[in-house]
Amino acid sequence: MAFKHLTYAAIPLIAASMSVSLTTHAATIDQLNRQIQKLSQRMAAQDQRFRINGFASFGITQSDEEMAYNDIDDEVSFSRFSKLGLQMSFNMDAQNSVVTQLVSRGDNDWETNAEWAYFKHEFNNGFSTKIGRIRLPAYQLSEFLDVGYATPYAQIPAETYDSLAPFANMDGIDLGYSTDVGDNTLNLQLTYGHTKDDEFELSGVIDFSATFQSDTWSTRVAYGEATLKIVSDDFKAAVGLYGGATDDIESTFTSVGFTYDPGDLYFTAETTQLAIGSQFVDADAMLATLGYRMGRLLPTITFATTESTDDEDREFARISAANPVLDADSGATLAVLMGAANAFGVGDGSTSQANLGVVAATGAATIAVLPTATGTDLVNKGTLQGAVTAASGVLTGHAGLQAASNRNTQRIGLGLKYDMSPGTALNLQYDIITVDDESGLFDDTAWATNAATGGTNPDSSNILTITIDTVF
Amino acid sequence: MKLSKQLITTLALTASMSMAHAGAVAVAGASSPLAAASSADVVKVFLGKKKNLGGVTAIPVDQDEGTAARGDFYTSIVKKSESQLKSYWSRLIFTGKGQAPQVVGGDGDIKNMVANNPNIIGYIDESQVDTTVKVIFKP
Repeated sequence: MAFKHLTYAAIPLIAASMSVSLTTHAATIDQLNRQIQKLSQRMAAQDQRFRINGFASFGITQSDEEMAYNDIDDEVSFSRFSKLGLQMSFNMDAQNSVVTQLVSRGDNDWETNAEWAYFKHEFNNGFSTKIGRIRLPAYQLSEFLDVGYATPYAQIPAETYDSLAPFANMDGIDLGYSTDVGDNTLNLQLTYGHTKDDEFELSGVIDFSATFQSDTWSTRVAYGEATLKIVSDDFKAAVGLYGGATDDIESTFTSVGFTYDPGDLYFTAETTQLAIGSQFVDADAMLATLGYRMGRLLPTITFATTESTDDEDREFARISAANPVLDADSGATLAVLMGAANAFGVGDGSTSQANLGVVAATGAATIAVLPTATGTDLVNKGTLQGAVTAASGVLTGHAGLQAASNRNTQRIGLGLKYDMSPGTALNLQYDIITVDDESGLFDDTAWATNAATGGTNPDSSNILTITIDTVF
Repeated sequence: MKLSKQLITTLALTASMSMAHAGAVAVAGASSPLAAASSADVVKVFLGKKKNLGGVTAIPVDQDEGTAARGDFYTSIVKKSESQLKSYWSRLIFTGKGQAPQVVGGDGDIKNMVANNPNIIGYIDESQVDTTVKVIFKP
């Protein structure tokens, strides 16, 4: 009771003091609000100056084939397509910025590398330039190759995208120009630089690309040239054995791409042409992907092919220069053995593939009619037999190597991308790869060994890939 | 009793006003030199394809994901879902070609920002338009 009285009595007092303090508080709150506003503006300005963006893909991939295709075999891999990237952009002002991209790949034991590190300057007239470690913009998807979320794929069709994979980034300079053409945009890009890995060095790289972009579609052409040099000793020895150049190897690359993305429908296609001298595979490749968005789902179907176009050239060079010691007994080389066969009227004495075929096919018949006596006749017989064995040995070994380096591959891929939330997608992909007696992207060492030892090489590989792709 | 009845009526009115969601409009500060713009231009500014409107620098700012104005602006004006938008920006961000607009909150925050910076362009629900802002595009 006493408490109740006290409370009633206290009310006016409290009310009076409250109204006073409320007024003072209102002023303070106003002040605080202004401070918060200023602070948030400063934070906003800071946010514009320094930004961190990231991308990541984690997933599994496995095929039903023991022999690895594109480094995927029948053992489940958690690392093949897993990667994490952090991009930091520091904008000094509206025109100058520094960008670095740190990428860790599961495929590379999660080692972190600065794949991009460049300074960018934007001129006022649509020109911009980058200098430092930059992306080599060869393919249509080159610039966001690693950002799984930005593509419809769990794994990008390797038939097209594998060839230049070791040279995705390079040290150099990039000059860009962008201009409006009506409601559309034209982007031109000229890139120059060089790059190397443990096996190769690519120098004097010049790449030019033009992209024409409307609201719903874009089309792009790119052409590049570079000089290739082999730096690894093992590779040099292998190529040198077949008479291929190991330095100053001219290479060219062309890509034509088209994308139509008006909303629900999604279509993209790209065709590429790669030509490299020496013993390297020249190949044409293409891919086409059609998809249709249904709410959060994007089902796609992909068709991709690659075919080597210089099989004959590589063949000729290999045999004409195959000059190791071939006959263990006499120490004779292929040229000497073919010359000996010619002395018996077998073949024309050359080391061409055609002549090796003639010697291998007809040598035995000549041996059969040679006199079987002793002395010189016996030696002659042995020499001719050596030539026949060498010719068929070289042809068999060569056929294995040839098949191991040739390409004639088709991929049919079924994909389903599910947007779990904006910025995160679950990506399922099932690829059916078929090859036509040629290794394509199968492990070529295993393929050649198999061919030489009479083993059976696979004609297909079915690959399942599941990834979670995110950008943040 | 009378007081609370009045209060309820006022509350109901306010509620019905904010419920009368009229759709998103693009706004700049009341005293900004930014003038009326076409739908295509506004879309280009928000997709980073255009950095000025009629010669005046235009800096876009976004609302938080999930606000009514943002949902309406991107669905009916830009015509991109949040996922498509994210994918679009990731292609630009990770090629070093651009950055998505800054995200600053809701209608009130946008009004604050455009009032303080004449180059900022935002979007708010039409019902929130007052004298501090001017509408530069209304669908």
